[in-house]
Amino acid sequence: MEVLKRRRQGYRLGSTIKYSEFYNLHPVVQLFYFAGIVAFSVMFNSPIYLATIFWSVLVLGLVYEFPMKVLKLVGFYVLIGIVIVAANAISSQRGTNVLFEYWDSFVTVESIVFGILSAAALVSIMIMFISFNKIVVQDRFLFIFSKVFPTIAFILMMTLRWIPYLKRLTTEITGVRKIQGMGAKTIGGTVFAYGAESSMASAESMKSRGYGTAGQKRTFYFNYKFKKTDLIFLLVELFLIALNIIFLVSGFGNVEIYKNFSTQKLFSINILTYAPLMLFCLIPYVQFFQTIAKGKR
Amino acid sequence: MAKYNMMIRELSFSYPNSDAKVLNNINLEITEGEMLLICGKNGSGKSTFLRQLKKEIIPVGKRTGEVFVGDRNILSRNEYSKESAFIFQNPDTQIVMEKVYNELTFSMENLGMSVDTMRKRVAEVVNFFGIEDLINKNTNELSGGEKQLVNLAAAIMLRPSILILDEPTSQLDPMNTRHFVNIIKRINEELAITIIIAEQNLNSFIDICSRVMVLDRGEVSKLGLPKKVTEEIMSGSDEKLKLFVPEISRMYAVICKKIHRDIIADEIPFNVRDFRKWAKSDEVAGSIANANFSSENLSGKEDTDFGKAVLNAKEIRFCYSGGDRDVLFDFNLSAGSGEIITLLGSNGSGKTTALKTMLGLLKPYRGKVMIDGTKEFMPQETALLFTCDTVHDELFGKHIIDNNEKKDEAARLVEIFNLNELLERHPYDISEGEQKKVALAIVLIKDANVIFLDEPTAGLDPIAKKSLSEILKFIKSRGKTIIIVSHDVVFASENSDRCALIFDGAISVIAETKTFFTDNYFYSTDVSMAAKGIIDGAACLEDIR
Repeated sequence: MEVLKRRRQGYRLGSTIKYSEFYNLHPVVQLFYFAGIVAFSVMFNSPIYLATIFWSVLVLGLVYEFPMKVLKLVGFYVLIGIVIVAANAISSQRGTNVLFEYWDSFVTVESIVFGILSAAALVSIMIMFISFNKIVVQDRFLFIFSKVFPTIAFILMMTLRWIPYLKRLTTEITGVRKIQGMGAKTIGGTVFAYGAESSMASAESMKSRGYGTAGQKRTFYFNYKFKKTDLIFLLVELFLIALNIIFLVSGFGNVEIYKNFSTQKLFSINILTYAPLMLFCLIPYVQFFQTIAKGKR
Repeated sequence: MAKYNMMIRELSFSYPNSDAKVLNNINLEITEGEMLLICGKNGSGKSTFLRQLKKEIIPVGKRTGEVFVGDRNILSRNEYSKESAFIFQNPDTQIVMEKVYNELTFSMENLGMSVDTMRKRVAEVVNFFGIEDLINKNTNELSGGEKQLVNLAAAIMLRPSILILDEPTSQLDPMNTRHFVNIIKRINEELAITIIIAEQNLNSFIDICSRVMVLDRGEVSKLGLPKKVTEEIMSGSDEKLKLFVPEISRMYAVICKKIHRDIIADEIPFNVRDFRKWAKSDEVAGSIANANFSSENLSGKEDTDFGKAVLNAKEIRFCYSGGDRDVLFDFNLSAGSGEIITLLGSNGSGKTTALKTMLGLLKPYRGKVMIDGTKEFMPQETALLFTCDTVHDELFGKHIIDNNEKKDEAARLVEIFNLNELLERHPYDISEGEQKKVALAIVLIKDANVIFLDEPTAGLDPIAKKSLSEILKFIKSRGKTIIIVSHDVVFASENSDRCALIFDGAISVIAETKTFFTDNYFYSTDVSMAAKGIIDGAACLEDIR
């Protein structure tokens, strides 16, 4: 009964996929995947392409984050999307199929479709960041960054530790001041003074552990090894990205909306040129399909 | 020469712009694998001394004499002194990285080691410490005890032969302290690393150290085997120094005095087991039984009536947003005026949450807290209370004093709390014990009815604790209610009217202090454990007369 009394929050779906191959892949491979998703969302505007991207990032989000949180966020993003659609419909006077007129203006079908497609691209990218934040966690990002700018990455890492620390300190001090009955204007000063005081201790600790000894030769520890699987995934990603770009340049997956608009043209699709995008979107689910296949055998 | 791991010759030190010698002519040899425990009052030069032993952190000032590691003077080389490692007092501020594994590799990265070497050493050390669960965590998610373990692991990465620790357990709770002490013992025994450790009291490490050194005003006043030094302190005349000795040994001394027996160094117990063995031995068992340690003799606190409840918390339930369980579940507490209640409990039991809920900083989703009059709060980091540049302004500033009556009160409290010398100093520059005094003075000037104290004894030396408990008695005599949240069972047993044990979000036991400790079996004071069946009903040293 005790357990029932206590409030519980929903648990994450699909722990099978969570620690799948994709989560454990090398950060570079993950980064290429997410970069690809962003690029394709921007480049393609075929509704079927965008729908594919939308669903794949939504499911990925549900796998890595609490479903309730994802639904809340998606609701909010969709609201933003609706605002974009409305704004585009009102401001854009292009297109020939007039839907209705108001005051001195009119709204065209083209402007609404264009709005929906741009909104879908933006919403997909925002939803993508739900899983991105869970997969490419801070240290993976920093690891990639450190390859290019080692010193800045190091300073960034030290600074990042300070953000939660100062946040906690501020909450603590705010509480203390509230009870003391003093105004909020003293909080900043105390956070600064106390923070400075503890940073002196941190500096001493760094010195005692040999900071600055090796100078430029300071090395950087990371937890990631580039394995064979990573190479395979990376090659597949690069191959699919290349194919997609080739097809894009050849005019596939991109519909001219404001010129000669027709629903048929909008939803027309060539399986051969669509396949690379679909396969790319499915990369994070590879291990999942493998598990299912193994289970059936 | 190599017989000694570290040798200190005629070491003296004084800070700039001051003639006073903080360290005066210290000579010391430390052999390999030794564990040296250094103790002394605040300002005796413990920290200054330890900092002289590691080249990188020697403070600025005038230094004479030499420190050798092996046969080399530590100042003679330009390279980094990786033969020694240093652990600081505050677990929080010595951490510099965001992730635990970055923290562990920090020193190795600094020396430019290869990734493979680092990976190997991390695996080794993490295994030795058993901290696999922590390695991928963020450092700010760790508890104080875990942080100090990580600091220790990080320090040992470079395979030092000497480990120097400056009051490493002063901010830890008893369970974490014990765990930390065990790890230190293993490092000493299994890796033969020399350990030099400064502590505020001798309690935690005296059982495992090989020598004890007492510093007094920068000079070595006592040095020798633990039992020998304890005996010297106990038979000496310095009453304040006696507070540094473990409770059990003091209990032994009190009993010896009562049964007219001399203190013998070899007999001095450091733990409950040894005490009971001694007390039940044929030699003394009889005299203890005849010495009238009867329960009537004990200073039993009578059932005083504290009148109407000033604080009343009823059926509080609290859950952090996003949390998966209730941190407080049907938490009840009521306190009368002039009552001191200590809430005890382990980390994560909900102590601090209970405190914050009663203060109104956290909002319970069910239940009510009623406080008759005003409330004040002293956080564990007392410095957070201060907003001015001098102690004088803290006490006499406009935000505190709004009429002449309060001004007189402030002046009176400065006298009573002995704050005269501190008035012109910056509140951050005075010791923690002094900060607490100033904070409590502020609370009294404001005339709050209910005072909440979060871990008031953390980081205090025994002398500061003693003066804190006198101040609490003074506050209590004015009819103020004090609610303390603490790990310190000894302090609780000496100062509270009632004690409560918080477990799983609610109070599982609340009782009058002496009953609380004599009834408890595992969660009790050393004195109460040692006295069971020998001197019935004793919960703290004061009870034994």
